[in-house]
Amino acid sequence: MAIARDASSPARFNITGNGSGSESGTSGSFTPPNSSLLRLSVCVNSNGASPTFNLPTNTGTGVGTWALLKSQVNASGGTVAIYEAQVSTGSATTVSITISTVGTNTAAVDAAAWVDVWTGADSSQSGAATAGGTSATQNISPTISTTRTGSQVHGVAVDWNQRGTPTSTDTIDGYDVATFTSGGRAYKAANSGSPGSVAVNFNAAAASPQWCYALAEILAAATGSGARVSTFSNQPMIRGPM
Amino acid sequence: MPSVTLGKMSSVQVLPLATYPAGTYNLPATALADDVTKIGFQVQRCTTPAPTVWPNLADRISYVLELSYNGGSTWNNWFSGDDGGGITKNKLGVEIGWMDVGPADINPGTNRQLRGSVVFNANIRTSVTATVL
Repeated sequence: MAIARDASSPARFNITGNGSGSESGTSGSFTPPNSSLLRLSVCVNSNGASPTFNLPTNTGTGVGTWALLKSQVNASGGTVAIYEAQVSTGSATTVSITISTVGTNTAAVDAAAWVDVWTGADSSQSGAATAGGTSATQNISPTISTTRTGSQVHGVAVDWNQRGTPTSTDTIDGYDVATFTSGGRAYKAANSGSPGSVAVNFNAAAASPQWCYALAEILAAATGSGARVSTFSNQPMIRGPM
Repeated sequence: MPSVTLGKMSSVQVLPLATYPAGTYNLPATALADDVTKIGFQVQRCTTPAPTVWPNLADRISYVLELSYNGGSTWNNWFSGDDGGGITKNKLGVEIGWMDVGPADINPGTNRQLRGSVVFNANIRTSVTATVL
C-alpha cells in the first residue's frame, strides 16, 4: 500500500509563547487509523537560544512512544522540529508539544504546528533519512536523500523574519503571524521513486527571509520476502510472507 | 580529481567582489574532506555601506548546488534557490548583509564532491564565499 496522508489529520494548530521562554500548543482531536504513523512538525519562535526539545504527549490510547526525528535551530532566531509516533489502534486523541528554553518570548500566538497522519508507512521507520539547515534565500529547495523506493518526503520551515505566508511547488500549508514568524509544512504530491535526492520547496513572500528548515523521509512498508516483527502495545505481530 | 579539497571549518572565496555580467557561472567540482557535515554559501547583499552591491530587487541570483558521493561519477541535486537584491532588513530593523545558503546538512561519506552553478539575470556586483563545517 502506497503512503498516503490520511483525512483524519487534524488542522494546523497554534504555537503560543508563554512569555517566559516556553512555546507550546495542542492539536485538535482526531482519530487516526489503526497501524498509521503520526508525524508532528513544529515551528518555534526561538530567539538566539538553545531550545529544549521535550517529547510530545497525547491524550488517547494506542499511540506509541514519541521520538524526535530532527531538530534544527537558527542561532539568529527560529527553530523547527519533527517528531513521530506509531499508532497501533486508533482512538480519539490530541497531541501536545512544549519546547522550552527558546529565549525571550511573548505571551502570544507566534508560530504553528501540524500533526499529519500517514497510512502505508512501514511500522519501523528506523533508517529514515532526515536533513536540515538554515538559509536567507527567498526561494529555497533543499533536498534529502531517500533510502527506499516509494518513500514520502515532508518538511517544515519557519521564517523568523516573517516575510509572509510562504508558497511552494509542493503541497504546503503556510501561515503568517504578524511580528513573529511565518512558515509552513510541505510534502510531496507523490511518493518518490528509487532512492535518491528529493527536494522540498519553500518560497518566502519577500526577499531575505530567515529560514530554518527540517526534512524527513517516511519509509514505505517493506515488500518482498521475509517476516517483519512489530511490537505495538507489547503484542508481537508477525506480518508479511512467511 | 579536483586539486583542491575543502576541509572542515574552512572558508573559501568562490567569487571575489566584482561586477559580473549577466550569465551563468560554474563552480567547479571540489572535493570535500570526509569529516565535513554541513556546507554553506554567503552571497553579499546590498547595504547602506555597500550601496553598489546587488542593489536592485529585480536583479536575481539563482543557484543550483550538487553533490557527488562517488568521486564525481554521478551528481545529485543538493540545494537550489534564488532571491532578489536591494537593501533588506530583518524584523528587528537590522540590514541583512548576506544571502545565506545554508549551512545545510550533507550526507556522510567518502569521495564526496561539490559543484554548482550560479545565474545572474543582470549585471550584478557581489561576492560569494563558501563555508564548510
